[in-house]
Amino acid sequence: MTGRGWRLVGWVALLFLALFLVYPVVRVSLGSFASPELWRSFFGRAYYTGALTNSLWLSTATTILALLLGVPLAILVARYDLPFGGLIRALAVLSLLSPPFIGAYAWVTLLGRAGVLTNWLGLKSFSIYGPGGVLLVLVLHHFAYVFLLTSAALTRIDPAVEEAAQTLGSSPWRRLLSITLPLALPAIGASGLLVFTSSLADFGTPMLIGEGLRTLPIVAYNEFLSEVGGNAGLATVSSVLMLLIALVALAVQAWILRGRSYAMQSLRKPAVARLSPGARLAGTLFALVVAGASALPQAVVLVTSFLRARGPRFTGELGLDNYRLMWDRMGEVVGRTMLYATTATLVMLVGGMLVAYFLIRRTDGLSRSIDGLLILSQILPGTVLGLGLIATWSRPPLPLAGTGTILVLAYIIRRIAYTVRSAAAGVSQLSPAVEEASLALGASPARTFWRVTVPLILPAALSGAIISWITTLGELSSTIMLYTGRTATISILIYNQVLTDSFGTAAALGSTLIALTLLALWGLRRWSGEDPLRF
Amino acid sequence: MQAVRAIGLHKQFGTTRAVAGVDLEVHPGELFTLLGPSGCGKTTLLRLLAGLEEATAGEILFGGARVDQTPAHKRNVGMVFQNYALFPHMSVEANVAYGLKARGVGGQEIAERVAESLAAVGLADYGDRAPGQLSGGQQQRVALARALVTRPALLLMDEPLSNLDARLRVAMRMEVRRIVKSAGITTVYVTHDQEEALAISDRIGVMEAGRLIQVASPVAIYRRPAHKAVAAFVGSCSFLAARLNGRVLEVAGQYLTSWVAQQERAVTIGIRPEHLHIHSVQGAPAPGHLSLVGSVVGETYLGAASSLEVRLDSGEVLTVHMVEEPGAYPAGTRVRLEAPTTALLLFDRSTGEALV
Repeated sequence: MTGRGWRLVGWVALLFLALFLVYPVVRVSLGSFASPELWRSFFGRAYYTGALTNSLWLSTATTILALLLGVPLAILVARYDLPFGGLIRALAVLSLLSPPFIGAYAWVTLLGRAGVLTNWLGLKSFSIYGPGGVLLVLVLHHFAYVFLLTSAALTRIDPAVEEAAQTLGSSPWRRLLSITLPLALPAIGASGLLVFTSSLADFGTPMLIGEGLRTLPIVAYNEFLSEVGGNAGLATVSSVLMLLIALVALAVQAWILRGRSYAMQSLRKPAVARLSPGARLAGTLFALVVAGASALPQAVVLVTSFLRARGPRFTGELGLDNYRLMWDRMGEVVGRTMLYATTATLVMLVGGMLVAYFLIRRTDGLSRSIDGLLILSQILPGTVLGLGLIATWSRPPLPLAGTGTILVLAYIIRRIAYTVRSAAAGVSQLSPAVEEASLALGASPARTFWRVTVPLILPAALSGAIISWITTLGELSSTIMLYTGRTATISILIYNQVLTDSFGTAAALGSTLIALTLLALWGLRRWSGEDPLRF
Repeated sequence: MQAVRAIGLHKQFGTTRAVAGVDLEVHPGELFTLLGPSGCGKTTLLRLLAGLEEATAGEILFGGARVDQTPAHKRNVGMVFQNYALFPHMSVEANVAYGLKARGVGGQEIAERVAESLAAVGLADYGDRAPGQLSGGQQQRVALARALVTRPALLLMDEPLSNLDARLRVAMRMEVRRIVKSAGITTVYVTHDQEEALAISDRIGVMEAGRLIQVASPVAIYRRPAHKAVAAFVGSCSFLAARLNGRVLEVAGQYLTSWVAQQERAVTIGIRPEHLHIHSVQGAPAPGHLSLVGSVVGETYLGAASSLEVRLDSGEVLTVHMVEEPGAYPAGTRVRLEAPTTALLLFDRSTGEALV
């Protein structure tokens, strides 16, 4: 493609983001700022300010605990001869394959009032319900981001740099603190921001097991959709507050990481150090317990889906009743979910590769604007986007409310950044000489892009798109603002089953979701011959 | 075979003038080398010829036709890149066939020409391999075959041998010359390796700071450098300050008869190491020779030959070829160096241009 063609790509991307990201968000924000009495009534009542403090401490604590679990685990697995390294990594990936609210109700079946472990261990006073339980579920779900991103960064560090520190007389501990961790800090910081914004925006976990624990996404949802006494204005105030908190978190992360960007190119992998037998045993136990606990919900969901249930209680008999009960609605809902998620992902894949190329190869005002908006799309809570889209696109000229299109648009905005970021990594590894060679051989710029560039960046773009696809399948926070009976997705169906304590059918749906995800991953792996989930 | 001409070519990157007014004529079928230190603009000039960069000003003509507005993929050039730039997702065969497919050549003909071209570079049996399975030298040959198979009007090579090890580099440069010459394609070759340039080229253009400062045959470049920078960059050369007045050359307190006559001016004398001979300090200077006295500061042993560094009493350090056994002149030894005046290179001290 020529320079003019690329500018067109840039402008189309900017227009799309302006219409379906900036305009909705700006409209929601302006709407709330236009009436100061909304803010006064929000900050005048403990009901709302409590939600603000709850959201703040919950996401801060989740981030700190996820970092405290994830970083040491990453160091152990990436740098020491720990057994079961592959298993630990697989368990961590597995824990990310389904949305956190599935984890929440899985923990309910284990540790709820009628939970398996609660009865078995005779735990009278302990309960997964409440703030502590919410924190536990969020940490166990999110530490995997920290673990995977940090261990990927640790294996990318050029071993020569650490060897240099060694020859300069630096002890192993000093080397870890002065060389290794600082070099991995950009990845640690990025994962920290991801955990913070994702737990800030998480709607399902506190809703299902919070027992009245109010957080900002819950307040936004209740005020917007509550049939009696809701105040849509207060929903916009909660949304704007979430956005502001996410922006502050972004600023803090940017400040911590200022000037820290290291291009590491090394063909050698870092050396793996030996642990003393005692340390090795302790490290292995720690890693297996943490990774196992994070993936436990998936196993619980799978097992309980085959148990007969009466309401929230499982009878202990095996059977396919749960699947049979959901069969009629399931086919339709699963088909619809796949259609929305796959359509959105195809747009993300094609658009993501074009935008990634534009961002890496042209650095001008236009590409910087797109880059900034992509960051906004990543930290923007789904509830806020859903609210904004409903507020802006329910009337002509584009009445989208209640359609599948608005869900697909929301999914694209929510997840395209993953695809763009990983496609961009592919573009920056691609030497421009390869494309120049194609031009010099007489291939037109367009032919060069489709025949040389796309095949070479496709693996990277696909690994981002598969993450976009998986997270879209389980997307709850924006869907819940935008769906109607005709457009309900599988995550809505699961959420409703859990809300009515029908754990058996919820498990059947959850297992279907997990099975679909694993099937897609397996298919992609067979097709491309490499692990599609690369962090 | 086409001639290539550049007229008044300029290329500016921001405030940097990478190519600052180059006029160049490459003859049909010629292997022309652009030689210069890194940052001199030689690669930019090559990329301007390829159409990968757009000139800020000036004209480029292939066989008399203007091409400077033609995009790269329509210029019918072949290019070999420093890191080869093979398409890693295609087999060797598909790499070589790529340019033919882009030109819409038929399947049967593609197969024939690819086979022919791989055979010409000695890789007939490697068509099915992936580029990653080949050694550096083999990848280099694939890159060459890929560039030549389309029978381009002009072949451009950007430091194609610099990623190879020293022994292979020497073998490949003769191989490249053989292949390019038998294909009969006008070639522009970029290198910073002066030895490679001398060995491979029909003619050499030496570049400095975005300009061509001399275009000549390898022998002329070495023996009659047009500029002090050429003498310094191509081969080894020591420099001494001197004054020239008519035919009288005043250097190190001696008055010699120069082989050039010029108005009085400050000059720089260039002396190649092979023109300096070592004598004992007591001996008398031979007529028609420059004689300089100094102390040995060090010796560089290179196997077949050695060179000696001598610091003159006036402070300048000269490099001298040594024919004696290594260690014949330990550091500190006082020696007298002689060079015939006819072998001295004379440059204007302010402009650096050669005096003739």
